[in-house]
Amino acid sequence: MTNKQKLSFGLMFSGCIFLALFQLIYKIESQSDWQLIIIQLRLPRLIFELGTGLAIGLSAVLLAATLRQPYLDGSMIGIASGSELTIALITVLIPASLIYRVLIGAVAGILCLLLLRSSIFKYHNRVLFLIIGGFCLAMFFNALTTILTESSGWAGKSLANVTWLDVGWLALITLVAIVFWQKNSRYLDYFALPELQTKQLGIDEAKVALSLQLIAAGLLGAVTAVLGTVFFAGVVVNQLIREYTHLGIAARVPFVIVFSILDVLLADTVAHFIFYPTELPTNAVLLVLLAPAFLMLLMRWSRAI
Amino acid sequence: MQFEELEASYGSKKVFSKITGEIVRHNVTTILGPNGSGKTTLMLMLAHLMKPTTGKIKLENDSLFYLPQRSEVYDYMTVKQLLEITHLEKAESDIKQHNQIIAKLGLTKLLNNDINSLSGGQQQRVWLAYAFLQPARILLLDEPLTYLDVKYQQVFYRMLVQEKSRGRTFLISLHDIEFARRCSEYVWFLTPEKLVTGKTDKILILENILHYLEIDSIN
Ligand SMILES: Nc1ncnc2c1ncn2[C@@H]1O[C@H](COP(=O)(O)OP(=O)(O)OP(=O)(O)O)[C@@H](O)[C@H]1O
Ligand SMILES: [Mg+2]
Repeated sequence: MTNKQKLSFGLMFSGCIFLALFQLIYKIESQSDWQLIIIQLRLPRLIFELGTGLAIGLSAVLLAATLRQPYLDGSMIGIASGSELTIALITVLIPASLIYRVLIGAVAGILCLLLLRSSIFKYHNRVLFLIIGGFCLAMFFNALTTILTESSGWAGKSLANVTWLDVGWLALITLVAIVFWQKNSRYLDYFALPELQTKQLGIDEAKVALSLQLIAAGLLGAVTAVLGTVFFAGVVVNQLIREYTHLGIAARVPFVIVFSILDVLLADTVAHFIFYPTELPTNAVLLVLLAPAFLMLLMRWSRAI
Repeated sequence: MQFEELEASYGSKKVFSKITGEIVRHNVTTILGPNGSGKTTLMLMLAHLMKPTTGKIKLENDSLFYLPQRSEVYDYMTVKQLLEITHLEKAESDIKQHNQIIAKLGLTKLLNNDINSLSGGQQQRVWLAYAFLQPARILLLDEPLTYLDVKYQQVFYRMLVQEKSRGRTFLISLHDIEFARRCSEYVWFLTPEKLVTGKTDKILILENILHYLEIDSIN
């Protein structure tokens, strides 16, 4: 790592710590039952934000790498929307099971991945097919969610109502993801090579790609159950870090995760406190915050051209 | 390494059939044939990267590496990172030879560059280095001269001769008849119905060139 890279990592990390502390203690003195608020509301929310950042960043790196399509993430191919739709369905049909929404979201994300793998992933070397096909699916799920939630007035896109049970499930899912990660992450860099070359290196690419995609879909599905879909967040974070650090896939992962966590923390801080005590939807704030980042990315690309 | 009665098709479209031949060890063999005649397809099959519709391939304990005519890199990766993949299972003594190959192909100064930021010819040199640095004894190089300037075509020719003398076997596809005459002991003309093979001096004659490469004069 160069000094510049170390510095930016340090800055992002410090930013995360600052925002985390800020979220825990800001405006807490005005509350009489402040201990309860920290333990029951602010702490689980904070931990869930960390998991959300991890999920958005990591899933984008993993999907872009294994599909060899840099400009792609889990929101653009319908994995996030699939999880969101499932939660909307559950809300209408069996609302009592919503306490397990994180687990349900993870399963939905994975089912969505399997659906994609049996259909459009088969043509993954046709870029347009993958991107347009994926987006169609995402939009279809989105439309269904809108129809379903229109009458119920369901609005679950804030992190304000995160429970310890949500955090527990997310932690468990993350743990499983880490086990898969440890077995497969050393192959991550080889996805920069053409398939013909990984084959000749004797790598069982199909198996590795499946494992890495399962991590991505499970994590993204889990956090989307609470946060809702944030279109393009993953791809922006992944590409911005790539342009800025010039690091390869595996070396980039910690940067992407920390940057993504920073974004989520920032978005939720704004969502939580800017019109305190009124909450804004976290996913919408995140999208707005990432818009300038997206513009920066476009500018860098245009300069490269 | 021998193969018999190979047949290739994509879907219902047949590329070639009844292709029989042998790659002679410690020699250079060149495949000639017009665009779309199936040179790449045949090499993929010999490298076990594509299944023939019918036919047999006998490979005797030799490791084999195929370099495609074009390779894409999908993410940020420096020349050094790519070439390091090849010495995963290499001994110390090989590292010197390793550096020689990198130097000959003019890559020493490019080691820390992102592969996608290099010119077409520079990228081709990187991939040639990647191929030469493989432990494999048989190298299949698909149009290795693509994008190379005059200087590096010559460098490539010399490396070919040297690696052959070290006991390596080459099968390359080319569109350059004079280069083929200079570098190869054997030449194959690929046609849809058969593979015409022979020693270079016997087979690379005007009549065959005109007929199999579908041209009406050499100039
Ligand atoms: N993936 C594919 N799907 C369908 N058809 C293919 C595919 N790859 C090649 N073909 C067809 O098979 C035939 C042989 O192609 P191949 O690439 O082997 O030719 P080639 O001799 O290497 O040509 P060139 O000199 O242009 O490299 C061509 O007609 C081509 O259209
Ligand atoms: Mg070809």
